[in-house]
Amino acid sequence: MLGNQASLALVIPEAILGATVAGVMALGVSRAARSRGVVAASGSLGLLAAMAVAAWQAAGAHGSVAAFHGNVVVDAMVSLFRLVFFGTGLLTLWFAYASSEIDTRDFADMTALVCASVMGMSFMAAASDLLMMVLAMEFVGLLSYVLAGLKREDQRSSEAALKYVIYGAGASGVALFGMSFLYGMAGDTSIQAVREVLLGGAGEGTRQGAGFAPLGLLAVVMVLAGLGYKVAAVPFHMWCPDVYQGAPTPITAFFSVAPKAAGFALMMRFLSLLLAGVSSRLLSDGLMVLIGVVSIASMTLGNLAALNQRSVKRLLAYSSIAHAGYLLMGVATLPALMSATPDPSGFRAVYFYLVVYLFMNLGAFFVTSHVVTRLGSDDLGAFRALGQRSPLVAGVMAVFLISLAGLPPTAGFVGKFYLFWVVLKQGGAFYYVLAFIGVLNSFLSLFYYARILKVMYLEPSADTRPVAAGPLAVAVLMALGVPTLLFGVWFSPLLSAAGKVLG
Amino acid sequence: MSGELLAFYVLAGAAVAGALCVVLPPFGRNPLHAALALLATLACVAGVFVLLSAHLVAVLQVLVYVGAVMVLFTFVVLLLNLRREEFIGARVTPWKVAAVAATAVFAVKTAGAVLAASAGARAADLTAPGLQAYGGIRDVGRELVTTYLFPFELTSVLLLVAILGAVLIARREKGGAA
Amino acid sequence: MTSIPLSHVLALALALFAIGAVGVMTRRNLLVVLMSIELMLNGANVAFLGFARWHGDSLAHAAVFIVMAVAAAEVSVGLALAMALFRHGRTVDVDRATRLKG
Repeated sequence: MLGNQASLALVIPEAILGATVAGVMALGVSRAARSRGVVAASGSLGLLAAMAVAAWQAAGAHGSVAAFHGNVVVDAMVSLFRLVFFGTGLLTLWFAYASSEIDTRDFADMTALVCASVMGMSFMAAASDLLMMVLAMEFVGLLSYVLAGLKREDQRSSEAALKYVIYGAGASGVALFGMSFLYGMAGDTSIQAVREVLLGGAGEGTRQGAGFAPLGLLAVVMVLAGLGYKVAAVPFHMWCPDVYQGAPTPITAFFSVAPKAAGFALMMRFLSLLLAGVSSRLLSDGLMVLIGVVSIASMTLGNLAALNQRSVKRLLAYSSIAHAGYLLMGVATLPALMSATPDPSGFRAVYFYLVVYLFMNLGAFFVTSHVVTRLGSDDLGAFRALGQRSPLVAGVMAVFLISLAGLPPTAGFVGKFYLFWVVLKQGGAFYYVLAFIGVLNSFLSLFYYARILKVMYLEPSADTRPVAAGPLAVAVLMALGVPTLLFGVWFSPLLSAAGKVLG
Repeated sequence: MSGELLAFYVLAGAAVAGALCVVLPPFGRNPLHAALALLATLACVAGVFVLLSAHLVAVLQVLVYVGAVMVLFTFVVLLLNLRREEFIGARVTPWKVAAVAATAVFAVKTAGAVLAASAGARAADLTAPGLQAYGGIRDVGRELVTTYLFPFELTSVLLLVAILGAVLIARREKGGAA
Repeated sequence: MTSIPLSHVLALALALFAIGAVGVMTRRNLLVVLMSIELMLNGANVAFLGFARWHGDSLAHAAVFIVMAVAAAEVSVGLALAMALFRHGRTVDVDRATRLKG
């Protein structure tokens, strides 16, 4: 375990982001330097530098290091998730730069908030202490509330922030209360210490591991409830459609990927640290069934609710709830991790799918943001005849939608295939039912993705003027569209990266 | 019954009563009354902290919550100057009844599990070597700048961005100064 | 040696937490909802300190200190939002925030 000074080198990416936040805030104050271009360039520079360091650290195999007196763990998983968070932050910045929804006066503040938020997320992925977990969650949560309410002149944006604050603060209160029990069991806030109590090892005389299993299960469920809100899983999803619809579109794109990935990262970190090797049938079966049922409920309700949405932002919100359900299938393979020979392949599949999801979902939101900026609405009607009015944008959108639906030859197909394969590999009736419902849901989701395709290509529009796409928009579309196609056929690099998660 | 236990029951009872006043519609209809009830609850909880030998945290509870946070609440309540009809009560809906019932079931279940696990638990002996300073500023302060130095520094960043966020949200849109 | 049983401290923690949770779910006034969230967090703090007393461990005191700072930050953002909402609709009624529907 490293002390405070010795650990500093491990958080260089976050330190770079901290400096970026301070620099961008300073730019925002100076009247001369707060042009969109200067702010976007300096924000991008900071994020790119942080990504470069993170990639360099991910390449160097340094195993798993407990840093800052065991408050955080730095390993390949943290570095890999850093790339996801920082990359999403970078793309969000470019979306916002191209969008008309973010006022130039607020652009510097928004950039600072996004950079600070992705910094908090990488601490979520690294947290190995209960206090650190709740602090990182609150950090990201607080910034999300502010980002959701960024359009002050629009009442819907304020209402989105309101929904986010109430659900978010309530959920983190529940998680904190659960953590107090975990602390009570161990007498220490480190997750490792709680695990030792569950193992029945280092208890002090009167405390015994077996007797703590029911309380431990209850506490873990409360912590998972707090995380379930972050990833927008049913029944903690009610905020999600409202927040996604009300927030400015580039921010919605950010919300749909980054906090969700951070929630899954923290969930995987917490469960793997707490439960590795713990042989308690109550905990393993209880959590498996619980997460499985939440997964089924999320994908089914998300897909059913998405079927008759007119607002594309709202439709994509329900689609993201359904995707949280698919991802939870991978987390439900928890008993494999708790066995004597821990097998984290389910968690690796989750990371793989999250990377794929980053590209396809950000892509779909970018096209929506483009349409909102050019045509002023995210109603399905605004997408009419987009196939003729802007063939490039509509074509790339088609790729994203096909990938979200999980059809070949796109990355979405490979990601889903991997996920279903891992679930089936576990064996047992429960997992077969889980995978079967997952496949049924994928078919169900075809209907609403195909509806957008139909509107874009088959429905005529009164307005037939072409919809222009500037060079920046084309560049971003390519940066998102090419990987979505490429990873569909050439996925071995991503697969080997995912193999490093919990390796 | 020892005096310590008696004090605990009085403080705990007052804290719960105050909490009920915050939440129950007949009392909490007026946000200012709710704020005062919350103030009483937080002060009683500070008293419970003293009984638990958490002296530093008890002082901080008074300074941070009773001082800063409650002043902020009261300030906003007065600033918004809500009209009489804005003193909003609760509206009973089936969804809310279900939520309250679920909370009640959950609380009972949790109480059962907690009592089972904590039955016979014995408090640490504070006269033991190394524990005389328990809960004092020296012990807690040392933890804060060693084990928890990193979360502590992260908290300072959190407060900075929270200020930025609060200003950004509450800033007046029209009328000159941005 | 204190004479307060751990289970009684935890009962107080649970009561504060549950009352706060009910408030968050049922009340419509945003200000009262924020106060209820404070009650939930206080319940968790009581539980932390109760357990800390039984373990004779000072670490949780530092943790509670940091949780207090986080709660204060949350309140300041929440109240800023209450002011922004009030400016739009002259109300802080959570149930009347209904511009978003699907």
